[in-house]
Amino acid sequence: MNYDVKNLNNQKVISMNGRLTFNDHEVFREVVELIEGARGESCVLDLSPLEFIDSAGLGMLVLAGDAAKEAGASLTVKPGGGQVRQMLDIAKFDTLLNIV
Amino acid sequence: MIERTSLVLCGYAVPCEGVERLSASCGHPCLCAEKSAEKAGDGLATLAAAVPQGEAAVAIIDSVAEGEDISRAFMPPFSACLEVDGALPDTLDPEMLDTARAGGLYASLSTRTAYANETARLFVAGLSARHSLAEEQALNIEVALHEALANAMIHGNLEIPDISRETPGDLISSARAIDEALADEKLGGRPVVIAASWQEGRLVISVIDQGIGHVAAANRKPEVEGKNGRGLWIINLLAESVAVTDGGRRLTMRFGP
Repeated sequence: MNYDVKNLNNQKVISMNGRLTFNDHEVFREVVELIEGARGESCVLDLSPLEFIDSAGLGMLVLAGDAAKEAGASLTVKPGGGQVRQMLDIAKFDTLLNIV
Repeated sequence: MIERTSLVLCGYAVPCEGVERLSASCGHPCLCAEKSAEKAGDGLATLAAAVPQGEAAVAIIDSVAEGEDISRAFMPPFSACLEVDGALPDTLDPEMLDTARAGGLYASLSTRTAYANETARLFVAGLSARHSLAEEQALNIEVALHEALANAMIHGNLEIPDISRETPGDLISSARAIDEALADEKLGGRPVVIAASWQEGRLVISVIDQGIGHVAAANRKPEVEGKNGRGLWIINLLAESVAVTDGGRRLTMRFGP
């Protein structure tokens, strides 16, 4: 997985692309750090460029949600489509994360 | 399904005398090629072109194989891919021979190689090349196989019982634990096997590891807010049936037509 960060309309937008899997624990730590740094601000996790996510990636998203709560940041998740959307649906993440 | 009695053993960048010895002991003809200086995948493509029309082949590749080589080794005429580290075995796994002869696809890769490549995606591409799969079905099979491989590699061969993601720091310690186990000669070198065949119109895929065995409840529904423990549950949702045998070292998934 690769990611990039942009500041748009006072929002920190983190876009992830490629595949988010068990191979990405280390790089996802950087994403969590960005969310932790958004203290009191609003943050968007854009998954729409992401091609594939596995169960490990789903676990990492739960951790990202926890990190946002702890930092007092509001986190919005843009789910994209295809396999990523299907996995978020399977995991019932609409009840856990703010998915738009 | 076409039953093939003969297979061609194709050794690529492995000691040729080992391939010839194996060929003599199992009675299958062989071909050999040195590691090609051209781009990865080309050496196996040259061997593939030398396999007689209609015959299936076993790609025997070295442990320094690159992604393109593995991708090519999953494509016809190859019906099996065996990664070896130095010396070749004296015999071939009967399950490999049965799977390849029956028109299925078999792979035995070191955990290190299987982990470093998008093995599930490449394997499903190899399945699609011999049996047409609808796009959605191919994706479901890829996700289920990816999860089964993750469990077989991490909890099986690498002997890491749990991957914790409770705190941000856990992400780093989990990555370290996996890296260390992959670098371990014994654990990282252990083969993980995928054997796929069509039986009565259904695709049956087994994933086999050589770990100490682990048995988890396949139908346990994970908590929505859980940070792990979803893999087997996802496999259960995507496959028609799932069976875990051999003390947890073999997971067999069956997919409907």
